[in-house]
Amino acid sequence: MKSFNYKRQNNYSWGMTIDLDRCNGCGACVVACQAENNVASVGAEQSGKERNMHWLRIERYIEGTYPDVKVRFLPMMCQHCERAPCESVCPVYATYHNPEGLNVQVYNRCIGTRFCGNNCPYSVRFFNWWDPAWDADQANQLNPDVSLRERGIMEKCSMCMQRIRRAKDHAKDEGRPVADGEIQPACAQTCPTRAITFGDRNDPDSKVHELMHSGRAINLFEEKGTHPAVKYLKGGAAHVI
Amino acid sequence: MDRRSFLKLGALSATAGAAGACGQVAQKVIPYVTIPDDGVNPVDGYYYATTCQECNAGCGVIVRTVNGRAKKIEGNAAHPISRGSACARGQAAVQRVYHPERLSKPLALKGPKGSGAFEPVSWEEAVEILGKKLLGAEGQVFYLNNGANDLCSGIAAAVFGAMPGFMMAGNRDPGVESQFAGGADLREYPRVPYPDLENAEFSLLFGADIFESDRSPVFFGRAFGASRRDRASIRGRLVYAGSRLSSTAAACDKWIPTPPGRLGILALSVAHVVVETVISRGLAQSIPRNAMGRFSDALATYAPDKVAAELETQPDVIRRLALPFVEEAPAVAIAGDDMAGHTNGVAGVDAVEFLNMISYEIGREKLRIKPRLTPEPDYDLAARMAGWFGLAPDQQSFRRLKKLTDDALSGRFKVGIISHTNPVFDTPAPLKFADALKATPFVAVFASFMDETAALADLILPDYHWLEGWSAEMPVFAPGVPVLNLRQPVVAAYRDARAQGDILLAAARRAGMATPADSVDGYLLKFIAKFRAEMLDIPPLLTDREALEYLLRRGGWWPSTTEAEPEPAPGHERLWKFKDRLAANPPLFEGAQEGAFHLHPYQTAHLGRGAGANQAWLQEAPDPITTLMWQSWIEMNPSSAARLGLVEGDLVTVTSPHGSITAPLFPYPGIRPDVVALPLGYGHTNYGALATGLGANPMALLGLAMDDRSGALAWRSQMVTVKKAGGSVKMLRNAHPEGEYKGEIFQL
Repeated sequence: MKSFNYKRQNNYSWGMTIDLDRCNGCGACVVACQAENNVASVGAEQSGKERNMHWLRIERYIEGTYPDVKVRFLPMMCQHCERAPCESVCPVYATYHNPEGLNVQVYNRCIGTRFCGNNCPYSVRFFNWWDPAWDADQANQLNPDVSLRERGIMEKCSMCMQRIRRAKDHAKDEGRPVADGEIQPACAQTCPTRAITFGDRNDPDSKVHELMHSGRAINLFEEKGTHPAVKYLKGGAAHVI
Repeated sequence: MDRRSFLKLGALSATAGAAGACGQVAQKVIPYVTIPDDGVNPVDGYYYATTCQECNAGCGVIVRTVNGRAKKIEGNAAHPISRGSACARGQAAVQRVYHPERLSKPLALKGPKGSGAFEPVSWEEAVEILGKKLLGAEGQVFYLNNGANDLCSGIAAAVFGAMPGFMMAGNRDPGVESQFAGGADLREYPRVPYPDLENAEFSLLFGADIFESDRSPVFFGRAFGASRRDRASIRGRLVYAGSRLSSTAAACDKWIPTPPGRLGILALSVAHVVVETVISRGLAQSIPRNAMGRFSDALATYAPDKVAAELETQPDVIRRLALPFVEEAPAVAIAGDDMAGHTNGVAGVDAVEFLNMISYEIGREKLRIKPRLTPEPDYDLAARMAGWFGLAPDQQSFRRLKKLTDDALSGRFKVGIISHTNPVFDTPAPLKFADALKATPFVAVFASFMDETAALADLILPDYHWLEGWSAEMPVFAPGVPVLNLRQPVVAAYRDARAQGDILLAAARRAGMATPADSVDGYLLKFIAKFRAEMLDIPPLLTDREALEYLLRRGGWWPSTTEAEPEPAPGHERLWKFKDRLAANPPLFEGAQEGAFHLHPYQTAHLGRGAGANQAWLQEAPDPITTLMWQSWIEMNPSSAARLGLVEGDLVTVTSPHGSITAPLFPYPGIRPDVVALPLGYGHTNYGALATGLGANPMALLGLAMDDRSGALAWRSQMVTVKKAGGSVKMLRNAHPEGEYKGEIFQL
């Protein structure tokens, strides 16, 4: 939920749009997220138990039967709900809503009840069933900006908090607000089709504000009343040929 | 003083005392529920521009390094191919640098070939071994790479090119030569252009899997996004024709299933409608009427009414596909794998070129905006650049690789050098490349990992990862503007690696051969000296090394504006050259018999031809279409599966005259009932712990059918039989069979 001083404290309210008409399902964002956020690979055996840790995945929908088949893609990550079902069930406040509109996970508070994952309608919270293993060689690649998680805690998309923090640090040093487009989460930066846009929803001149008010924006599971900070842009062809 | 004042004063002095003691006053209470979102203390690191080498596209990238280690790869926003993005394979490249199985020392064979009895040797010993072998080779040497036009191949050509028995070849993506050959002698340059998807309103993809493997998925992805939503009131429409609904087809608005090998006929039929419409509406006056008559005659047999039955579609569908090419809006046709992978591939690519050219001609005349057709205005420069690299004109093809293999089998070569390609794994079994390596007395393989080809080497040379060394490269495909890509040591070598060029040069010196430079560095500087002599936008006062540094800041050289001038229209002269080639032979299929399926091997966006199979990120990234991880599969239409009594996960045996493999079934409605599809990249037999034994390799099923004109492998022309193998496996899916929450999200 929005805290009472939501706007007074600072004026950022981070949000994201994902243009479903642009997404071609290539999966670059999935690997980019994994590389940026030190997300562990779990291996074949754990994958078989549906214990993958991908903070971001591409949902795939097959409609129709041959020959009138349509396949659609939908990138799915934490929706950073304003009224997040995960936050209200955490007994230790390990997940909470920060003043900039993001749903944040505090790793060292988490005691692993998994209530949040159970209550998330989007299935975007991931539990560390094991200590993630990186051997000495692969540890060289780990991003020093992102803390490693351990067995028994939940993790999820942070909208690349470290990138937000870095941009805010730079802006503060230069005595200016964060410029639109200055922050790009790893998924948005690598997306070849530019389907993902991130920015300040409170800035009326931001790209994300424009897209969210373009009339194409929808919430996933609107009826659940979660008020996500991630909006999907629908749209397709009325006629093709 | 009353009691109230006393208490006030007391409280005040207590606060003052506390302030004095601690030096600060708590301003407000911080509730437990709002803790800072810290936990991150971001560092900046250093960013270097270089060029990705995970495939041949040549995407410019920016690499973030912290404490001398590569952390993250991003696209280079200034680069005309990547334009600021990277694909999954590019993102995963850092995992290869720090891969625990990366070879750390040169390995020399101390037993019979293929025994795997390698022993580590020093680099000095390795150079000595290779140099001695070259000395005794009497010029009977081959050099095989992955088809890249880079500095290493330039050095190889410069060092060995003078020897009479030398042969060079490239092991490129299957079928791609048909795309090179189609229309190549009609254009002035032999490279495959990037069609201008971005500015098109209608794009017709002839089996072009442009977001998975073709040319650069990053470039096309960007163009696709722009065509869809960058223009205020125009939304690009895309139609995909082919026998499987690939992930590219999924991004298109419509999929038209076509029988295998018939895409050329579809293109010719569309061309027929276009030509007839041009004649009847009096469009394109610049094309002489007799030329149009000639085209019309040639295409008469491809009228929609005559071929619709063969294409298993309605004549009206073909007419509707053709209309955008003669209407106001820009339209473009793109040829790809499913067209080029058949024995009549070049004929189809020709038809697509014809379609584009005639549409362009109409558009030019009416002064409408048309997509660029031949997007390399300065081909001369590209040719000169190839010369500076020391490269002969591009003559790589599967036919050439076959000739090299046959020569090696006959014992012609004394020394073979293979650079970062794995033909033992990714060429068809009947090519007998493994036997060719055994028949060659000495084989040196540059490879960072033990793989099927390196296992048959006499000497394995683990050279730099592309993030560690110097190189320069000309993109294999023509991105619309002349491009020079540069690579620099972004990080210090993680293992005891050396530059491939340095090893080639040192070995050549040991063999007493003339060398063009002392080191890769020196060769690169010589190249830069030649390059800057023509490129006047490089500041003239710089030394060559400074000029190199100047270029490295951007990652290479390309014109400061990436907006190429539209090519002058091809003109009717060039169109006229098509007069005798508007015909497609019927495709030839090997192994046709009652109940046989067409085999549709394909490259996935993540594994490509299999080099990424030892990377956990890529194995675990769910396949876009099947969402499967850590396994290969065979796709079959649910109706065919039901006919054979198969359900998802059942193991099936696929058999061709050349071999047989077993894979679990994935029923998929987006594939024709007479086709089965298998992804490439799986089924490694010797590629580290993660990849070995995982899945099945469809290359075991393929024969050596080629397109006569291009010499490309017709890798979609094999037919196979499929039968239940007994048993089943659990499919490792990342999602519900038809997508989670299908009901809820259906309304999108």
